[in-house]
Amino acid sequence: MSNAAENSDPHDIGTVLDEHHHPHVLPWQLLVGVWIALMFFTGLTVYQATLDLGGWDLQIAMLIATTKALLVALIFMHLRWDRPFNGLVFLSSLIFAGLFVAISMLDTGANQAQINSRRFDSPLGTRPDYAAHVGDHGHEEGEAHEGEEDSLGDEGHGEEGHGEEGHNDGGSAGHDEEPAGGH
Amino acid sequence: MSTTATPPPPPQTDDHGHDHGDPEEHLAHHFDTAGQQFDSGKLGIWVFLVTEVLFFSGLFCFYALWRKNHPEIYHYAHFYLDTKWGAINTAVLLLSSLTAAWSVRCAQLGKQKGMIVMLVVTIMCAFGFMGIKTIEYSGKFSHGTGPGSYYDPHLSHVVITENDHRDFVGLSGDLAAERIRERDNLPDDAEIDHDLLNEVSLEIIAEHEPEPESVRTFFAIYFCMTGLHGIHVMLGIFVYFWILLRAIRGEFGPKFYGPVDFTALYWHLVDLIWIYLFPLLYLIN
Repeated sequence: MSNAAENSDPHDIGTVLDEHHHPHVLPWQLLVGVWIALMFFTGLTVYQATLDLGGWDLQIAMLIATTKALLVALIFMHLRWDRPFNGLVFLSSLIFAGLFVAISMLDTGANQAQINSRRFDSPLGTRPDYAAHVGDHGHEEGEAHEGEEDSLGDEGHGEEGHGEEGHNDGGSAGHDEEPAGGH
Repeated sequence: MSTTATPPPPPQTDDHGHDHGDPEEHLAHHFDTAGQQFDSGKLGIWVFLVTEVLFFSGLFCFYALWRKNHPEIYHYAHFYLDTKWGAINTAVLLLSSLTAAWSVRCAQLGKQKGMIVMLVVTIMCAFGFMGIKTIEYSGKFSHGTGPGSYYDPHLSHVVITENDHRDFVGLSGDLAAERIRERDNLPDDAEIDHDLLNEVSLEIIAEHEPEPESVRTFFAIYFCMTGLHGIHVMLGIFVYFWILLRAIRGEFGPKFYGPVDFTALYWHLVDLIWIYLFPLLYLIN
């Protein structure tokens, strides 16, 4: 791989040069090896999701993801051989993202009681109004225009549901031409 | 490895052979040397990647807070996502990352043909990724599992769980069809009346534990995170077409490969974000 850059002026090629003043070229075997490792870790994390690891699932999944991320960053993104300053710049973003998430999570759950007490009218606290759909047509799969109809028609009903209880047949009768209950 | 300052400008040579990747040809007037230009470009792309990480971190922060407060929503709603498609998309994106890295290698070595092949494969993988996302998204919308107020699953497409949403029982429609066939002694391929299916689906839903509140928020998070990521993939496709065009014109070679390198760095970051999105959204246990 040295022949390609042989006649080049070492000062003309940017960034990191190896000891022979050539741009640092990664052997293709290394690239393919990293890719195989990444595929292996993908399989591992899919398999791991089927196991019960006693509450450590998320941590282990994140550990696997971080291993993959390190492989990509250090080899594919060339950080291992890049100028350390570039790596430092990138690391700073991860540190600040970490601070952002960690400090935001400090009072997680602290206001939950208050939130619960105030959200009786909020659409966020609801479940879909399944009972209102019994007489509905237009739930065929794969028909896009019917899907649209659904979401439009549901605005008036699904939104107002206060949980799965408290639905009356009147609501769905007005909603569709067929009375609830169907046949 | 090399922590020394930028080397002094080299003596100017006059033999401007316009071979592939001549650095002088692409040297902007505000840089002294091609090396300085390359280093500046590289630092620039890293700073851009920093802003990208911070950009995405807002969504990751929201994800973390909401998951801490409402883990049951995640346990329940992830059953709506298809791990198979997520895993295939991960593999497609990893392959494109490999070819992106390989295209840089080809450019550094002056392998014009190899570089073009690698760039084309990268673009094809990006299209494959978006194609699979399209399948997933259209499935979500046609089954009524959109974000926010668009979350209202069709009666036959409600996820049924047990054991505090940790175990998947089945889709309401599948369970209902099974029950109807058993009850009425129908053959396996019998058509089931639509209204009947909905009716029995509702029975099934009522018999099992109710779904957690605010599942719609999971889909808001899902669509925001994968959607923002998908926009980045699409931008990557545009940029890679531009790089491919320039590669075909023969602009890149061992002396000038910065744009190939910088685009690959962006592409790897898109891959990095997906590496976290996949287990966080599809593989919740």
